[in-house]
Amino acid sequence: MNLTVENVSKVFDDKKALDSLHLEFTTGVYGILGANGSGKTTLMRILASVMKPSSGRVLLDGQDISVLDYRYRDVIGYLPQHVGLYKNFTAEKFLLYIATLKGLSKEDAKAKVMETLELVGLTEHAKKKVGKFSGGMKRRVGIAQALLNDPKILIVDEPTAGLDPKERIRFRNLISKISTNRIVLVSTHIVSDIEFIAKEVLILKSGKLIQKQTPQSLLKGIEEKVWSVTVDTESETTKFQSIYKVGNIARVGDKFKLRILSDVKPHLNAVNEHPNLEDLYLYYFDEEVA
Amino acid sequence: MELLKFELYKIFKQRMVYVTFLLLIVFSTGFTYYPSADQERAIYKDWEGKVTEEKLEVAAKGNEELMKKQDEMMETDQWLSEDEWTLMGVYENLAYGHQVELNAQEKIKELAGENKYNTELQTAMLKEIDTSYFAYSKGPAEIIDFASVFSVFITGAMLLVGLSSMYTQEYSTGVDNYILSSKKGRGSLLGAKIGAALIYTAIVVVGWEIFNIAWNLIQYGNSGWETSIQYTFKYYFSPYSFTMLEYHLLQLGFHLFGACSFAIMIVLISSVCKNALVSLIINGAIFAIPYFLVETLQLPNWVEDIFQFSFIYYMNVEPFFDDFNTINLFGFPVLYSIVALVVMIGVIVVIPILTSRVVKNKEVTS
Repeated sequence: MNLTVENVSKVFDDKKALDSLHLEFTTGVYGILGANGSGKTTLMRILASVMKPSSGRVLLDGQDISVLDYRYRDVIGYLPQHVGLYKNFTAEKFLLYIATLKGLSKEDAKAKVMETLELVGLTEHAKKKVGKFSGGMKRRVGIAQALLNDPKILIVDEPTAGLDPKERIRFRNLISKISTNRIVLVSTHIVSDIEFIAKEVLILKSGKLIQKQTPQSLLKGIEEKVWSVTVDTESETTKFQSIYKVGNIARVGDKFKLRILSDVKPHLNAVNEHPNLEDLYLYYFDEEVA
Repeated sequence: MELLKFELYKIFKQRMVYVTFLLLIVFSTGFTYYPSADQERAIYKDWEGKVTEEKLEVAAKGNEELMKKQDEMMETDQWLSEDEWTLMGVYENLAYGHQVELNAQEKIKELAGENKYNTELQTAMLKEIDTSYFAYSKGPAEIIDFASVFSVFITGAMLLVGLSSMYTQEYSTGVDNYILSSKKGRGSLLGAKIGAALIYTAIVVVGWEIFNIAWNLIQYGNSGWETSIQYTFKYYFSPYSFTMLEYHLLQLGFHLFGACSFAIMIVLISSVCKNALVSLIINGAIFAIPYFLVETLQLPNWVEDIFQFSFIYYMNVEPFFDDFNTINLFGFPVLYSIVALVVMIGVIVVIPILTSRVVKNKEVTS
C-alpha cells in the first residue's frame, strides 16, 4: 500500500498553509513534527479527505483519492485534533453511530464497538454518556471511533494533546500495538509521542517539508550539535539563552547544567552529548520543547 | 436503515421539540371550550338532509317570524331564547348555501358571453358545485379551519425547532470530522437525514391532526362531513366541488407535501450554515417573510400571487381553493392548486440535489 502526496498546496485567503508538499508513505508509523501553524493539521485534514488541496493531489496506490471517493474513506480512520462527540449519547451508542457511518452492518458494528471499547479501556463506561467523560476518556472514544473500520490508513492529529502522562503512555502503546500492516500518521508537537514508535519522522515548517528521515538518521544529522554546559549563576544561564537555543536546564547542586543546540562549540568546557528527538525539535523550531 | 434510525433518534432526543409542541397545542385552543353544541346539533337535526324548495320556503318564513318577534321583544328589552337564535342560524345557513348555487348560476350566465382562455374551465367547475346537502357541520368546519390556520404555525415552528440544527450540530460538535471522512458521510447520510426529516414532519402533522380531530369532535360532534365546503365562510367563492371530508383530506395532503418541501429546504440551509441559530433565523425568514410582506404591505397583485407559492401559503392551502385562479400556459388554463403542486415537486427534486453537492464538497474549516 502506497499513499502519495503529490505537489500539494493549500492556501487560505492569502496564507499558504501547505507549500508544494511531496510525500510518500508505506506501511508503518510516521511522526509528523511541527510547531503550531506549521501545516500539520491541514495536511492531516487533506489526507483524511475532510479538506481539499488548493493544488496537487493525494494518491492511494496510484489512484486519486478524490476519484476513489467513498472507497478511499472506507479504508481510513481519522482522529482529529479536537474530538467531537454528542454529549447526550453513551459511548456505545456514539460508536455504533460512527460504525454505521463507516458502513459496518448492525451485527459487525456491535462486535467492533465492544472490541474497540476494550482496546481503549472503556468497556465499563460503555453505557455512560460521553458528556460526563474526562478529556482523556473522550480522546479514547475518539481513538476507538477511528479504529472501528479496521483502517488501512490511520490518521491521528495531535492525539495526546491534553492527556496526562499515563494516558500518553497508554496511547503510545496502543498505536504501537495496532500499527502492523497499516500506514499510521501521527501529527504532533510532542516529541515523546513518536520518539520510539515512528518509522520515519517528517518535519514541517511554514507549510514546507524540511526533513523526512528515520529518527536515527535525523539524530545523526545533529550529532555534533548538542552540547551540555555547566554554569555557576543564573545570569550566565540567561546569557547562554540569549545567544543559543537552550533546551533542558537542570540544577546540579548549586550549579546549572544547560543543554544547548549549536553548530559550534558554545563554550570551552562544553561537552558533546547524544542527541534525542527533543533536541531535534528544538534545533528546527525556536520554541520551548513540550 | 440504521443511519435513518440514528438520525431520528437525534431529532427526537431534543427536549425543545416536545416543549414547543405542547405549548403550541395549548395555545391553539385559545383557552376556550364550547360546551353547548349538543343543543345546537339537536336543532339542526330536523333540517338535515337534502335542501328542497319546500324547506327553503319554510326556513324563509320561519326566519321572518323570528325577526319580527325579535323586533317586538326589543321594545320591552327582551331577547330571543338561545334555541331561537340557533334556529335563526339554521335558516341563515340554508339561505347561504342556496345563495352559493344561485351565485354560481349567475356567474355561469355571465361567463357565457366571455371567451377567455379559462372560461370553459370555470364554467365546468361552477356547474359541479352542489350545496344541496345540509347538516350541522361545525365540527368539520372547525377542523378545516384549524388545519389551515394553527397547523401552519405548529408545523412551521416544529420544523424550525426540530430540523434547523440537522447539519449545524455536526459542525458545532466537531462530529463533522468523522462524518466527512467516513464511507457514508458524504452520500447515504444525506438520504438518512432527509428521510428522518420527512418522517419527523409526518409525525408532527399527524400529531396536530389527532389533536385537531379529537378537540373539535369532542366539542362539536362528527356530523356534516358530507356538506360542501362552500358552507364554510372562507370558501363561499370557491369553484371547487368538494365535501368537507374530501377537502380536509386534500388539505392534509397539500399541507404535508408543503411541509415536506420546507423540511428539505431546512436541511439544505442547515448544511450551509455554521451554527444552529443562523440556520434557525434563515429558515424562519424563508418561512415567515412572505406572510409579513403580504399582510403588511400593499403589494401589486402579481407579487402577492407569487408569494402564494411560498411555503407558508402552500401549507395554509386555503389560497389555492378559495377562489378561481389559473395561469395561462400556452392558452391552457392551469389551476393555482396544480401550479403549486408542480412548484413543490420542483423543490422536492432540486433541493436534495443542491444539498448533495454541498455535502460532497464540504470541508472542515474550524
